[in-house]
Amino acid sequence: MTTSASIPAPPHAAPEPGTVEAPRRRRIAAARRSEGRSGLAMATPALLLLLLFLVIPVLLAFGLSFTNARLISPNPPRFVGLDNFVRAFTADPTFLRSTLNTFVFALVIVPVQAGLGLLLAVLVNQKVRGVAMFRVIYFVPVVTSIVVVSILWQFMYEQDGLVNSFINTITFGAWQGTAWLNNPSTALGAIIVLSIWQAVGFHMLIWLSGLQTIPEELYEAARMDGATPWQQFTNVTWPGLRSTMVFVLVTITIAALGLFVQVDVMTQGGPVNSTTTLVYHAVRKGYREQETGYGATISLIFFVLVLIVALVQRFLTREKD
Amino acid sequence: MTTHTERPAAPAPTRPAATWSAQIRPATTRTLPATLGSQAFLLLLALAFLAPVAWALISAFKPATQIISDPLGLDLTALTLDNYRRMFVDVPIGQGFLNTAVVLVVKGAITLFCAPLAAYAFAKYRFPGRDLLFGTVLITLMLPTIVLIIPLLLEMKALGWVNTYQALILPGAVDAFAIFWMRQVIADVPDELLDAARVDGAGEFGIFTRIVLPVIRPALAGLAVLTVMNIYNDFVWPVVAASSERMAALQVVLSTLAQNITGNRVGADYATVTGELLAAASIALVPLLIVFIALQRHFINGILAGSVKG
Repeated sequence: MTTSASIPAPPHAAPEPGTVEAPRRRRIAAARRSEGRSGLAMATPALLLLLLFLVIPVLLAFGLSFTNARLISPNPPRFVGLDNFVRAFTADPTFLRSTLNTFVFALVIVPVQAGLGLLLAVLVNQKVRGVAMFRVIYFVPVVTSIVVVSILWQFMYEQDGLVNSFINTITFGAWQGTAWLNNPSTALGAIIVLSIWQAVGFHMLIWLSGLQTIPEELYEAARMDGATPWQQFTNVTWPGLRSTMVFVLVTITIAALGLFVQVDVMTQGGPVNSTTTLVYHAVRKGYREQETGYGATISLIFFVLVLIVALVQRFLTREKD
Repeated sequence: MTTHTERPAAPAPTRPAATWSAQIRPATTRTLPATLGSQAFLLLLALAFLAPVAWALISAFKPATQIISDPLGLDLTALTLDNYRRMFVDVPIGQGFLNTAVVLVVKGAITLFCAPLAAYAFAKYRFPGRDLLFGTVLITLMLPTIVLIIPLLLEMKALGWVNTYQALILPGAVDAFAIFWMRQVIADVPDELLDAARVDGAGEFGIFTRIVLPVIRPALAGLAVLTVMNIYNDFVWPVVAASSERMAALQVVLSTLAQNITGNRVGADYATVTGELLAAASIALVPLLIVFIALQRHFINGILAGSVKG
């Protein structure tokens, strides 16, 4: 597409530039003088909203972490130094369990969801009938709210729910399932499965956009050299997906570390803390139990952990050459 | 000057749409062979993705006791609207829809107006502190907003905004990402187009509304569907900031009902609540599903453009 073709020729491209140009240029210059003011004025509404509801809360989180502030309290918040941090790491087993669960969740979700997403992308990138329809279908869970998804899967995970009926059918009754969400050893796994089901269509789409940037000629050349489909994948497809891979990994990681809704709707952290997560714990403490200062501390620790993970990922996926 | 008539044809910033339409073409024969086997596999996966949703939509029409006793069975003669009828009586879902609709319209309008306006300023104007301000915007991109919930709630309390529309609407109405994305798009609008309008005596704001906005329409459509989807499905902030019955957004109403399943609502038995919950989940799911199917191309554009932000 030619960008400039349909754009009306600017008037100063007319002949006799010397005579016409000067006054026009002066008018443009005059307009440009006011641009400082106009520009700032136009940016202000958005910047004001960001300042009020993003920058101030960040600063507030820092400040609150070192106080014993409560949501509703007759006493003003008092500075308590590092007490909240000490409490989190030494006197709050639920916090430690939340940290562990959060990392277990992320460690499983990141490779599995990225891998499945890539598999789906390769599948719907084929030249077969109906791929466009399959892309839409695989995307349906992504547009479904995570609250609704959690509610549906809660039913499916019951003792006599859809999942167990299905397992029962395909194993001819040989294997009896459990009430997945009520069992401390399966609850987190159950949440992992539904989380992947909900989000994998999104990453399929990202991988797909990456796949389609790889020139067809590379595949033709590989085939000419007698490469098998698998060799084509490892030598052409995978290297061509490098930046997509980094992006997919980073977005899944950040989303996974923020696990909250599924837990809040389905298990409330239980049974016996087997599904509590950092964000869930922060909201439980800071909001439901009204310990705002401590909730802010957990949020801050969470933020630092996310930052560390992001930096480590950036380091591991850096361009080696 | 022919700007007006020619404007819709200006193709410069249609990049997301163009990219996707290039992508929509199936790749020519390669990788896995296009066999019946892979088609069957695709179909099987499609079932796995649709089954839970289909199950909910159908079960909502089954008698409540049957949903429990026979989750997979379907007795066509027994289908009923009882779950819906009871749900509309017992659950404030109408209020939930209303609250979500109000937030959707106002917050959506703020996002779709303020973010491109600021983006235009960042892309096309020089003003003091511009680079510093935009740098700050970029930094906030990396911040997981979920971190802000507790301090933001405290801020709402200080303002007396807990359980108000302001609390639901203003925080997050403009996010750094929307500004960043729109700036990329507007930077591609040729300066000549803007200068030409300026020479014709258009005011700076007039240039934005009459030239910039129409030219970036495809990207705006992408931003619009992304915004609608996010607001409609938003849960974490609404449940913390406005969970009173009068102010609860749709998703909050649903989660409250879901927590009744554990049996703490007085006078409601398990089966009844289950039926109501499936009816409520279905009715919450359907509007966005219809919008998605009708506008899938815009959704996919929006999400693709939206996610290639890195």
